[in-house]
Amino acid sequence: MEREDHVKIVEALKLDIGDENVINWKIPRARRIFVTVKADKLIDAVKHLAENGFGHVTTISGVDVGDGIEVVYHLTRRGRESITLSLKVKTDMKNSSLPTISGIIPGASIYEREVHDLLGVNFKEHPNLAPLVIPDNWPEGIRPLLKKWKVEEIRKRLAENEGD
Amino acid sequence: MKETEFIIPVGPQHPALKEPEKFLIKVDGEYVVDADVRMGYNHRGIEKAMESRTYLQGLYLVERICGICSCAHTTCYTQCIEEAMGLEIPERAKYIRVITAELERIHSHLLWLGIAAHEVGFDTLFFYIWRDREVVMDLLELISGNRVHYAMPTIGGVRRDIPPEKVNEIKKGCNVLEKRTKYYKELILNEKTIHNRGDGVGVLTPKEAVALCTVGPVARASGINTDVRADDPYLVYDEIPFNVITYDGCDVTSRILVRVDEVLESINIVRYCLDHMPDGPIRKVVSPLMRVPEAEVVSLVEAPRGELIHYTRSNGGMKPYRHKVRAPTLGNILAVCEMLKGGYIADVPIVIAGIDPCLCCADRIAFVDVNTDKRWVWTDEQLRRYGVKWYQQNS
Repeated sequence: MEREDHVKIVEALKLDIGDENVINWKIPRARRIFVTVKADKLIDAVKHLAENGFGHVTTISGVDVGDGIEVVYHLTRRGRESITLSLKVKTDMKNSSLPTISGIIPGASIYEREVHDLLGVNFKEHPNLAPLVIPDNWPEGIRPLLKKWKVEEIRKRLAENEGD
Repeated sequence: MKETEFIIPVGPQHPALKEPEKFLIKVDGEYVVDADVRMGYNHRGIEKAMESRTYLQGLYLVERICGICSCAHTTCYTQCIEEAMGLEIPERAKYIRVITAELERIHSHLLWLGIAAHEVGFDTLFFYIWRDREVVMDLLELISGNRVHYAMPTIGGVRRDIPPEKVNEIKKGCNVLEKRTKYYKELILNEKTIHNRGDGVGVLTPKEAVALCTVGPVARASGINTDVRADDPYLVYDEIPFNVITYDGCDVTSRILVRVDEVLESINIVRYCLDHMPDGPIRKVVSPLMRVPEAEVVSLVEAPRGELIHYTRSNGGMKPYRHKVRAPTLGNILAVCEMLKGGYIADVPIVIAGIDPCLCCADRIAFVDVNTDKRWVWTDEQLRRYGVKWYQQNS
């Protein structure tokens, strides 16, 4: 029964942002939904979800998927029988950028800063993308969670920096 | 910036701190007008490290994310990996995980209550609470052999059983804890020292709490009825009767009361589990070199400080392709910046301590007069004393 409710949530999203803009979706179990949408519909999708109760950003994850960076917004509809919907968008590996959602959900800004630090995604119109979790003397250009940066390489670059 | 405004950096760290952070606090006279945060002084790259380790090695790593809520992380991690593998663990193991997690919540909340008492200059209460906290520390040692990293949950179940003689010991300990916690609740409700420093201090309205995605006891102290244990039940929380504690004072006093009541709830949860735990095996053995089928899983747990999420993505190998962790403190950082605004400098330690980041021993606090470039540095201890003295003179 619960799953039907879950499907309705996805259907409503499709209706709002357009069927063709939802690339895929799945409901692996009760209270979990995964939806992938086109990156240019991110703001519309977040607006729709926030208006329908999914106004709590649990966190934002960034994943290097090889030919791009997938950014996963874990949005939760709080209350008893809460549902966590993971909204996924993909951006290019080079010049990765997405609009900020902190204008819709202010609490998202700190997680966007974290994704920016660790994967280099540029969140446009973010109020403050200053480093949050990487140190002040962090070597320029290293985005540690990108697969191309091996731990040994990062260590080497950090050691070089120490010498300065 | 107005001529009368100054910026005070608070932090970042002390060798003994669990979570060093730096707050940049803009003040006008005694008032805080704005606050910003800089973290990462202890960013250890655990998510990156996990990508080059097997799932079982990862278990040891996540346990060491935090020394206070290590069991919350292993609970969240193991259920994440088990869901990806489609592995159902034995019932008894679920109960033992809940018992360990709730004992951990009791120790964490009591630890925090002691710190809160210390921050407002009520050191007698601090010493009493920490003395009584030893009771729960002994119980954790009794079932796991350890005071800090209990290493109870493992992929497939738990490592150690709780035999009947230990059940009795835990029940005896729970009785002591209940009696003492009820006494402290009575004391907190009636003691002026707490109310003078906590009432109306560090206010976070329900609207702000929602907008800033606040989690855990901090959200519940602003009247937000949210608790992963009740909203998204994991393990056997859907079988256990317990209350989600909320207060609507939205201030430091409410944050204290939420945690005191949660200790009492946790004691009852532990008792219920000890009475209802079924017999049977405690784990399913998995290969240390197991492979996890291609999957992505979101796992949520109510840690002592609030909602904790682990998100894993596997591609069928022996190591996670990506494993993301967001601990509850990060979820409350924006909220603490909001709470500080409009308050007094003297309240900075207790407000920051109010979200339980274990940050209050921030090493150095530098004061900069931007007009004359005059600088002076206070230790956290000096700031704490300043706060206590300021209240003695001004109340």
